[in-house]
Amino acid sequence: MKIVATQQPVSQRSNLDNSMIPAINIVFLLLIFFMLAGHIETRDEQLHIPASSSDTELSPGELEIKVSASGDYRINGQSIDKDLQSTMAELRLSPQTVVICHIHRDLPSSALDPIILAVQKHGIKALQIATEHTL
Amino acid sequence: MLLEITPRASQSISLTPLIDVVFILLLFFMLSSTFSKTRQLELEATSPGTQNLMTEVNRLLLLTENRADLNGTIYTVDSTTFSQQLSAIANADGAVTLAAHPTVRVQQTIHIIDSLRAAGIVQLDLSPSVSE
Repeated sequence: MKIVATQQPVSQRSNLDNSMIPAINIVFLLLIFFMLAGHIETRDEQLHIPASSSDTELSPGELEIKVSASGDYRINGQSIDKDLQSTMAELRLSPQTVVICHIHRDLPSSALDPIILAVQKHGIKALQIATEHTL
Repeated sequence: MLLEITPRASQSISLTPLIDVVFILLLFFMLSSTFSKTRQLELEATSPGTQNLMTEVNRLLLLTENRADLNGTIYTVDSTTFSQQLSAIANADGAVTLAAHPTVRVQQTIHIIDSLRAAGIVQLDLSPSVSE
């Protein structure tokens, strides 16, 4: 048996393309929606910040402390070898320093203690906790 | 010499490669983009004894996920009486020093801070966790 590949007539191909146009329109609209409404950010599976109804935009802080699900502390992206208080003492912080804390939501409250104590010790008045906005 | 230019037959561009690329872009944005925005909760962490002596300081201890000790009286966190107490503190411009039991999750501590803020309490201090 001989199989002969027949070429589609141009008019038939053109009809197929035309019928695809509504689908392409919808796909384009979805693409624009996701591009404009969503935003891309680095995800850390070990750090899910708590949810709150706070509507205050996160301002950049001078000191960023991250506490992951495993209880590891990171200051400005760098993991610390010593305890938090002695590491913060080396940084020479002023009472006006803005401290932002990203802490995993399922950690016990005692994980916040080293941060509160360090902040109190340095006379820093304000402590910002990063949260996820909920409606 | 006259040149005869024959008009080219218009070639239709196939849409299939375009759709492929758009679908790939769509999948990328669908999977990688997030809609939740990061916000912040502003707290004070003043050392004990440095609070303003003119304002009444109320001590709130979060005992479990839904029980709290406010000035020695135990309340259920989501109860109406607890909300009324918080409103009374807010009306009197009172300050609250919040501490949580070490086993209470951070999310629950944030939830109670939300309730305090919603009641109108502005002066809120966060203290290290307390066992009892």
